[in-house]
Amino acid sequence: MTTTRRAAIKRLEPAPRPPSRAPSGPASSCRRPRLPEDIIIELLLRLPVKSLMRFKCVGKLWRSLISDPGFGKWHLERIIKTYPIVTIDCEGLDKDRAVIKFRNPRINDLTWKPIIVGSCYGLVCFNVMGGRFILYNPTTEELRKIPSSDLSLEGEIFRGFGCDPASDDYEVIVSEGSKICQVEIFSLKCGSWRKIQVQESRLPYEQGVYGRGPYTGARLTRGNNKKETVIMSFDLSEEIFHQMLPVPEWNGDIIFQGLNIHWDNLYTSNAYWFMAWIMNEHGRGGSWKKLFSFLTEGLPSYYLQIPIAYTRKGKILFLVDFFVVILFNPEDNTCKNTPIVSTRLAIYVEALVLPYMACQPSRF
Amino acid sequence: MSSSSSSSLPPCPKKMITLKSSDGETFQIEETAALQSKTLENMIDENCASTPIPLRSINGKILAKVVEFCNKHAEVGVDAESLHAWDAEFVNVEYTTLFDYILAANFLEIPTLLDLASGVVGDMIKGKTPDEIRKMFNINDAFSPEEEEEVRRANQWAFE
Repeated sequence: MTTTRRAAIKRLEPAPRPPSRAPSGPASSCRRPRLPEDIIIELLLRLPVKSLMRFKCVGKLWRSLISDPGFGKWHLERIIKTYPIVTIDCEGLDKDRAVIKFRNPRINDLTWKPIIVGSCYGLVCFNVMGGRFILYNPTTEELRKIPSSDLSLEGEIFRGFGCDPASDDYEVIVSEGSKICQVEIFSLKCGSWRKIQVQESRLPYEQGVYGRGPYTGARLTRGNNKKETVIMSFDLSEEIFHQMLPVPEWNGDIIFQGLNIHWDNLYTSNAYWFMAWIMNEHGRGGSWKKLFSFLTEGLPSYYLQIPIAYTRKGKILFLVDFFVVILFNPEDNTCKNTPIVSTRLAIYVEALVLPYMACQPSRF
Repeated sequence: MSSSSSSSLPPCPKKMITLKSSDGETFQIEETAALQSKTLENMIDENCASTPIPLRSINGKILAKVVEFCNKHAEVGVDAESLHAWDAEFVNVEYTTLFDYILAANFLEIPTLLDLASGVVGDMIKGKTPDEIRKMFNINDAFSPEEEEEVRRANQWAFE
């Protein structure tokens, strides 16, 4: 895509093209050069969505450039490349005021393609290419790079990020369970990885979520039916896995769409006839409570609909069609587009906590 | 290709080429610095750079700055932080001059300069009103007041 665009701008001819205005003479402050269309596109690509929507009023050319679907794609590609992290104020969504910030943690790494591992008490953990991890505080924009673990992160990998209240430490957990079950933990306090022994013959995979309480890093393993689906939790204090969370009771086929954490609660949801359950006392014998349940008629009939968060007023943010985020109101079955484009999201709280411990210099 | 042409001339490390602006000024630039421009690189590769290269769309004032930029970015041993500070100072100019930098960088295909100047213009314009943009960019294909109102209504959130 970019190559095509650059190729369009590229001029191999060494001979100068006819100047659009003022063919000669030194530049003076009163001259206002008119920029060619390809340059205007270059400039527009750098603007936030809100400015672009406003600049549709500028004139016919600008409107047609901004409305072009090809432009939209270039713009998205650029944003993802330049600002890999976007944050949104969830409270603002209830007031119809989405406060979005594009963030670039400037890790100066061209291979940086962040995957969100999890979020816990103000810090967000990313996995980047090469098996490395990054801890980032989106509020203060401080970050810390974590060295790679010795585990080869291929096959059935589990990644989790959480906080151990007993030792007041943030920890990253990785495991590889396709052949032999291996688990490693990174402690932010110690600044290093260490192997731990586990009894399990089968480990969860993909990303874990962090929930309140002694049990952390729960994960739903996917299966074709309820019987094959197990939610495991990992206790960061005792460093053992538990298979103690049942899946919600439901008569019928269930396709779970993963676990989420919101407002300190663990929740999971089912596709098609959309339902979500919540468990607020997990790990302490809590049970699932149905949070909401509705037909997804009001949602655009896209291929994919994954709930990513819900607001205090009961509106639900859905990820549809892979990267579009919409706000759905189950009360009147209406949905609104949001200016968020993303593929992976995590909820975090604004906090001053630093991604390094007191014993380390704050050079990050 | 460029590496082969420069490595074939090891005893002559400071090979200069001459650029001629639209108003007849000439500028000497080291070949190594000039290679940041893809347009000039192509000319060097095709052996078209032995005589002064006429750049009829770039005036002397702007060409001097472009040469200065290329020289600075070809310097060896400049750390990223001080180069960043130098860049910030370089683009601390009127927007009309930035437009000239962009046009020159686009014509000469100097991606670092194009990116730098476009980024500053982007930051400069993102908070502006459509009216301010029309003045800045000398745009005269504006909508009728009714049409504009319609576009504005359809994108109301962007004006809040």
